[in-house]
Amino acid sequence: MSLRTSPGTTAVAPGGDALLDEELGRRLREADEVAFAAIYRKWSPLVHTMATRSLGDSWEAEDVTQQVFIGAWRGRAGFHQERGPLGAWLVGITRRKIIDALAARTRRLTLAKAAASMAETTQPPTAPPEAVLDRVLLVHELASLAPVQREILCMAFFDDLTHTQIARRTGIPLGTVKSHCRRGLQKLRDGIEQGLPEAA
Amino acid sequence: MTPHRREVAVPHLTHDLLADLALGNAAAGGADEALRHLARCGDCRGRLARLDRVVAAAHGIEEPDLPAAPPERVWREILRELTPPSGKAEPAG
Repeated sequence: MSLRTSPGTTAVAPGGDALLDEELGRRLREADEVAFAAIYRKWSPLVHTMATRSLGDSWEAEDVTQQVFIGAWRGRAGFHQERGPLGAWLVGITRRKIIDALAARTRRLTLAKAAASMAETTQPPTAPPEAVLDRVLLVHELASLAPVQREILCMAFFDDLTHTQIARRTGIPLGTVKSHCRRGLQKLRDGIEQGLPEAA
Repeated sequence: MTPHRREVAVPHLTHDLLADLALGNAAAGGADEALRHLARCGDCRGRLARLDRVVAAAHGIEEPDLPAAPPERVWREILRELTPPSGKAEPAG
């Protein structure tokens, strides 16, 4: 890879820019290094935060982040637009790398235990901490909603306001409030489920 | 459809109604019927649980859940790993 440009200088505006993502995915498959840097710029905060929050160790989280993008570059032929968007593919890789890192940690712990006391060597099941990943993915997805929709949902979530109260407080028609809540909740659900093996 | 069951086939709850329930907006008429349907229908309970999970996640958000970019060295390491020793770009394809 000959790329010299730093990816960290300008932030890509968060936003469900599906067309841009499609373009990035297509160019990744063509081994376009500029697109790869843009992909890193756009998704590395999400990948890194997922890793940090589930592993709780900044060194391991950096390592996982690195592995995700190295894996994405080397495995780019395995990305198929028709099976789902680029973001979900990257989130799926991240989920698997986190599980691998947790499993490696369990193995180290088991070995240490066995060495110390010949303790039981049954491995506890390695599951990613779903609740924390839900929260990280939710924050990411909230940021990609239209501002009005985000505002309305935040009032519903954090101020526990009903549709009627939100309509009264904002002056937005009740029907519009309802449809923002319903559609928004659907988008957020899809956001936290992305990259799961069984997710549609 | 399970014609052998005694229960009359009730249409499943709409996403809109489930979303209203998840966000605590189901006080309007029809909620009783919806709750009765939920009590019998595992599919709809499952769909509601997926929305409840969103609401629970939102209530649990903490400051460290906000996206934080990795340090610069992560990108440098990635480039180092992907650059062959010759320094030439990896061949496309």
